[in-house]
Amino acid sequence: MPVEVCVRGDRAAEVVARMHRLWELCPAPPGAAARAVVDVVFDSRPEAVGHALTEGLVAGLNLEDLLQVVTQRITVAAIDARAGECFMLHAACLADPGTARAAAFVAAGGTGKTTLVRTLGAGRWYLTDETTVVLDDGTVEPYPKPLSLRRAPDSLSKNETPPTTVGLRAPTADVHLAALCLLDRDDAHEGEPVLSRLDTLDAVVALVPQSSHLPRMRRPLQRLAALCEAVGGVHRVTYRDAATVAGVVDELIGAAR
Amino acid sequence: MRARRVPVDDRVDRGGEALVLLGDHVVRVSELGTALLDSCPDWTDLEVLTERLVSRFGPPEDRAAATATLEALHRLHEQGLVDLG
Repeated sequence: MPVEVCVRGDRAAEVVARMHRLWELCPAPPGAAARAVVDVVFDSRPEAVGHALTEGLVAGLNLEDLLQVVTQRITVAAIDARAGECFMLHAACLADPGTARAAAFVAAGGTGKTTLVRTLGAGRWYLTDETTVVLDDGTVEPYPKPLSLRRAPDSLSKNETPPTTVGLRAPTADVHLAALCLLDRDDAHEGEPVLSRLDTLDAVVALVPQSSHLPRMRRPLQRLAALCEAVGGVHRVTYRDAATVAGVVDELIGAAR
Repeated sequence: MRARRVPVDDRVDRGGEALVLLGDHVVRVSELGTALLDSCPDWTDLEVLTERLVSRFGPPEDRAAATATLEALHRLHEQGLVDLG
């Protein structure tokens, strides 16, 4: 899903330089036409930034803050451009390089997706930490975006981080969804993760709020139910620390290689 | 008193229950509610609906069957799934 990012302003070069590294795993196919555009202004003059913001552009005076918003806008633009075409789940996704079987880990924002990927992604293929795109035939379209890592444990501000710097690598072959899992991070949980299986209707109810533009699809509930059943049902994993989920991921798609 | 189910955007059934998509809104419908929806594709009298529910689920223990049917219809109406007339 090619997205064009147009950067302007007297500090635009700084953004462009960082973007290439941050989005290293998401190159646009050669000659691909953009299906969405994100306009960005990075400028040392507050009035220029203010003007850009009033026009609805992504703009800022601080590079790290700006890059965080750019990532969010790119994601939203890509999701909006594909509305109705495919399932887009608010989910992290990892795959086994040997079998190309992928597991998607569904969760609301700020509840463990990036941490899970960062913790358990080494030795696996990194599909995304944010939006898992599933086509009708079960193929997962990679969206290995930069990781947005909190600057401090309770901070709302995040630093954009190239995936390879934390040991992640993009898939090199087609990947198929083999497991769907709801992440239920619970700070009060003790011991090993608890895995439970949801019936189909409960699973669909849980997935609907974490799906983008679902009503725009044709027969979305029937297709979502079919997807849940095609992967053997949806599981909920309740845990405290992402590292303890390693065994669950091993079980779903195989051990890290 | 009569009822008629409204057209929905999508529906999936499992184990007698249903999930229904109405606009952007997803509603989970119980087995009894699903049976009611299936019984009123067009305007259907309360008495007929009550008979169908009783024949499938048996009479309610705590109140008149027609009262229970009416309550269930009102719940479906509040969820936007049936018209009442």
